[in-house]
Amino acid sequence: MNRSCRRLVFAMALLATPAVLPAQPTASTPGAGFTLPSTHIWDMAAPNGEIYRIFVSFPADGRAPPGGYPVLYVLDGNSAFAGFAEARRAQEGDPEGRSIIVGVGYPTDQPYDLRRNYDLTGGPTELGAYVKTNSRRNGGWDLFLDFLVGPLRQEIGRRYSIDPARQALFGHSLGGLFAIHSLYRRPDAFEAIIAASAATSWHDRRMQREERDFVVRLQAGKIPRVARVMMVQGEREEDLLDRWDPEDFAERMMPLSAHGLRITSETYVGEGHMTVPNRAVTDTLRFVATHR
Amino acid sequence: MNAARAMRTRSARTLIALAAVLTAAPAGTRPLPSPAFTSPPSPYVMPATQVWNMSSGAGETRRIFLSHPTGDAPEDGYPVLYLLDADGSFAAFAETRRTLEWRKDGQMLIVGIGAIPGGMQGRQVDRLLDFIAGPLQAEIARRFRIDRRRQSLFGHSAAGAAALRTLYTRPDAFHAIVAASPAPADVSALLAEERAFAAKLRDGGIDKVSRLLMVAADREELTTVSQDAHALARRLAPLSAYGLRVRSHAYAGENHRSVPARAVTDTIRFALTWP
Repeated sequence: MNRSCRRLVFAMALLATPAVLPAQPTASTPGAGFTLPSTHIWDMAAPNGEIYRIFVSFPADGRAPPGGYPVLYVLDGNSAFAGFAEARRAQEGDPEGRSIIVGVGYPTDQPYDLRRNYDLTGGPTELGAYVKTNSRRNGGWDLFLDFLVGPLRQEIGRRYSIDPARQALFGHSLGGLFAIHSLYRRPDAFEAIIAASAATSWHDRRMQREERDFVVRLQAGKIPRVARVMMVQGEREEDLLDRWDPEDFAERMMPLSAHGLRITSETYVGEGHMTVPNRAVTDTLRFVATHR
Repeated sequence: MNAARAMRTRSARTLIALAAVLTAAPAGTRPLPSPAFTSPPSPYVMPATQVWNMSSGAGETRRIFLSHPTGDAPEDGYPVLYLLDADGSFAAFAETRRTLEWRKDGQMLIVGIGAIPGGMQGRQVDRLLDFIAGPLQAEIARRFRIDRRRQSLFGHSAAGAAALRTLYTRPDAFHAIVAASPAPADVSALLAEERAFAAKLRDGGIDKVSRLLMVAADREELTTVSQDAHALARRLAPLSAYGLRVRSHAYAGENHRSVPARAVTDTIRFALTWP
């Protein structure tokens, strides 16, 4: 295997494989680590028994707008929540900071958990380079989507004052794949969807079919309300499909603005796969806040 | 009221206040229990971070935030990125470093220094730099193997001006300096230091000089901040003939407060660029 090919496989595998790392201080050791102000985390069970770690960042003054706060759900919360939470807090006097951030992750101190391979995919991958990952549990994306828009949304609504009509979703890599699938499956469940470095190639043929079906329904006027979509990807994606596919997707969707679909796309100069979520933080908060 | 009674009354009041704080719902929340919980809510403590207080050596206490890789340090030691006034920017740097580490990048230390009471101008900056170069660096080196040649500095707003002052007055103290939305309290003092620095550099009086990244928002609420940053980058550009490397970005759509979050990935790339 040549070097660039090895690198490609590694770049994709890293998001699906838990790195073997030595033990680190646990997040719960009192006084051991940095505490993010204005946050809550807790673990909760989905109806199917899966345990999720929920990370929440909320405005400290508690003065919610009359309609409630907008909510941004961030997938892979273990690796992406802190940047959103901190940027929200820094802009608490601005619309960008008047929101609730909900990270959805797993009970681990690692940045990623293997369970994402189940929650964010629709089955085994058909993509040759990654078929070796198919021994892992996969195919749980519809159950996970049910949890996100069902019990989790209900729980967040019980604990915080939220605007049910303004709930957004951010997903990266397989999370971006999941976000696009969510657009097709439940076009009105989120007011805004942000797909970062979306790995739609993971389910190449399947996503093409879902897209065609979505387009037909949208053009036929069968989707009365559809999420706004923001696609972001790195100029230096190690797996180039993670750049090309989202770029092409956004280009194909543009004509659907005639049927109410709003889509933007930006390829971030200098960024590789792993840094796209951090780079996307301020754009995402702006995208979510600047509505109406 | 005698002293003992006053003391009892005071401690009773403290107790009541404390109880009120402990039982009150956190701001913005409604205290409804849920059967789905498997653990009660608690604040988020970031993994792979350490926080401690240490004496500045000049009678002040500094709060230090550290984000570190796990596993063995590289042979040359870790590069170190110091963040000034880091209370509101440390988390994003720490998280980005940790995410990069997942693919074996991010082999660096992020060291935040908490807000300095009384601000950061003139001699306060000098004292802070003395603290970093002395006790702080020694403490970091005691905990981790560090590469002293690869130490960088990030500052935003007033701390961004402090970062510029660092370049002017201690040009060889850091490998890379990032000045984000620099907002000096005393503009003319900073300009005077810049002129002295430029003259010394041209005269060959500075052997080794840090590279500089300047960033600012295109929607800075104080338009002078973006204008001055842009003008400074242009003024310094000709000094590339004397070894000063300067890069600058105007961030589209950002405002003064969002610049640190926007600058995280650029800063880490800039700090890690080696040689």
